[in-house]
Amino acid sequence: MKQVEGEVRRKFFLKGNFLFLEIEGNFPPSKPGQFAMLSPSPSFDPFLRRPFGILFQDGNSLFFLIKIIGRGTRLISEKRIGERISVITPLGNGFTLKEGKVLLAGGGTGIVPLVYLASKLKGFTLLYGAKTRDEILIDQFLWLKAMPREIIITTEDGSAGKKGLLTQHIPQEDFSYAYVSGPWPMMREFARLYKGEAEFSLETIMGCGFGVCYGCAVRVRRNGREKIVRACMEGPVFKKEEVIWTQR
Amino acid sequence: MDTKVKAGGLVLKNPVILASGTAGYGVELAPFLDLNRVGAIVVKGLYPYERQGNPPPRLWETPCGLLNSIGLQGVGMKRFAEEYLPQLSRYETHIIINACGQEDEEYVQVVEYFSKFPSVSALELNLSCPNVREGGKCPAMWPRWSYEIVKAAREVTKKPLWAKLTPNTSSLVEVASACREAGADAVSLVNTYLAMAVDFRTRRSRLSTLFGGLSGPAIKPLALRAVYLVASSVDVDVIGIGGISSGEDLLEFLLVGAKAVQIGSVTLREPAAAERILEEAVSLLAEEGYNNFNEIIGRFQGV
Ligand SMILES: Cc1cc2nc3c(=O)[nH]c(=O)nc-3n(C[C@H](O)[C@H](O)[C@H](O)COP(=O)(O)OP(=O)(O)OC[C@H]3O[C@@H](n4cnc5c(N)ncnc54)[C@H](O)[C@@H]3O)c2cc1C
Ligand SMILES: Cc1cc2nc3c(=O)[nH]c(=O)nc-3n(C[C@H](O)[C@H](O)[C@H](O)COP(=O)(O)O)c2cc1C
Ligand code: FES
Repeated sequence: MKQVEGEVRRKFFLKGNFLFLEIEGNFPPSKPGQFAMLSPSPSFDPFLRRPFGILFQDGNSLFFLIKIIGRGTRLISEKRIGERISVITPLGNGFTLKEGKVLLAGGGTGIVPLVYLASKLKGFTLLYGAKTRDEILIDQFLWLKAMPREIIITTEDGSAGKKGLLTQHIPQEDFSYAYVSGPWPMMREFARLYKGEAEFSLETIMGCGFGVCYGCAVRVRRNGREKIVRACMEGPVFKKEEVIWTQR
Repeated sequence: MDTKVKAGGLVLKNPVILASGTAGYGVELAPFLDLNRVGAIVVKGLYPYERQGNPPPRLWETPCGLLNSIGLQGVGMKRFAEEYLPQLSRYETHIIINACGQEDEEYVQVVEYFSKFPSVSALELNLSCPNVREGGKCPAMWPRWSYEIVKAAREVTKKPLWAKLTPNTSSLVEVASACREAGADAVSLVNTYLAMAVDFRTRRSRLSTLFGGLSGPAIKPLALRAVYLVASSVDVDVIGIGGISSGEDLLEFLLVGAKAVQIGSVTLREPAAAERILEEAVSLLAEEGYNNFNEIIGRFQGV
């Protein structure tokens, strides 16, 4: 992990209030499932960096897909091409790479680390859900379609793909492993329904992202004991049997 | 420039100390920051035993700062000594232990334990965590309670002993005097300000606790006043803490009487902040024609 002053190389806005961002810099290499902390502003308000999953890393560039939801993400989206942006990367443990027939299940921005993971896999089934067709960004990842894979899209209103929640359309085949990333309620429901081995990428509020503040606490079960660990260091990816789905 | 200062029974190579709880056990910052360049490192609060801290959520961002209710999660004194201290002591800087206790005797246990380690330079008694007792209560709210803990700790160690104080009391000056009388070599102030954040939609606290502690640049003017009040009326070394994020901030704290400062929350957004702050302060001093930090300490001229 390293703090690097990057430079905004490319950005465009996508339907559904998403920002696609390419930042150039001398970044150390990353693994799928790892994340970066971006600084929204050199000023003290907002005070903290924001965590974002790495969408892809290539040459000197890091790619992100950011849903604009509040002040921090808005400020990041207002950076101009050529403007400097401070990045701490790579952070967290990342996914464990498994052989065989795997399922990737992503809800909303949860798709981000799965896109990176997909780029390292030979074959997979992708289950991708969102509220409406506007929030389905699969067209942006055309290169995904070039890979041997199956893609199942779900939307809550049925405006694209199958109608309903992602968790209502989990394929009834046997997978050797599943990788899941998305909002808590979706992941909790997935964990309840899915019987096979799986790992989950959890999102928590983060203060630093590099292990010093203990603000990113998640409750997990390890060696039969309940423990509080840091999502930024011991996570953000946890095995299914470790996660405790009620956090407070 | 000669950057040395004397503070709380130690000679520091410079007045920049990493504060407890925002630098982990020190080694986590090594990828970002040359730990040899800081005056001292105060490690995350340690109890005699391992602690899980409060349930999530434990953090909420506020204008120019943050609210936390971590509740002193930590590996406990023995695991720290085995797993982190050997690595940390390779750096040429002072290591200061932030000693905690639920019961008064636990503070004494931690102090006694670390007194045996030559690599530990000093002990800072955390009398002021707002996140471990009902309603934010802590020993440093009262002179008597503070006195008793410092006195008991003083009896088991010859190492420099610092007391970390809370601003959440109407008796700050009395508490600082009581610590001095009980044998403290310095008081570190401030710890976080008791505060709260609520969500009107869910009608619940933003944190898993009712209150949290506020820190960051938002509290700097409050902390500066607290340091001034104690430094100008109690004969004890003061270590200034609270929102310090630039070289100029550092010099302001020294001006009102702090002998050294601790860098807290700014590290979370900028892991190498301590190095930048030192560089800025040194060049500001030089610009104004000073030869060292001692020439500015306590030289406040008033209104
Ligand atoms: C490991 C990880 C990976 C993530 N990857 C992505 C991604 O690839 N794309 C994407 O769009 N978003 C991602 N997020 C969520 C993203 O960090 C938040 O949406 C963002 O921090 C919101 O900032 P804001 O200032 O716009 O929102 P505000 O609501 O103004 O934020 C206020 C505070 O809450 C925190 N916060 C709010 N929502 C979240 C959240 N969901 N997770 C963590 N902190 C939050 C912020 O950090 C900030 O401290 C990820 C989060 C984590 C933990
Ligand atoms: C996340 C976090 C954890 C903290 N943990 C401790 C601790 O373990 N012991 C302690 O004495 N102070 C702790 N503090 C208080 C800081 O050391 C410091 O006194 C306070 O944050 C004010 O300084 P700042 O505004 O520069 O952060 C913590 C603060 C934060 C933000
Ligand atoms: S976000 Fe600070 S320790 Fe994880």
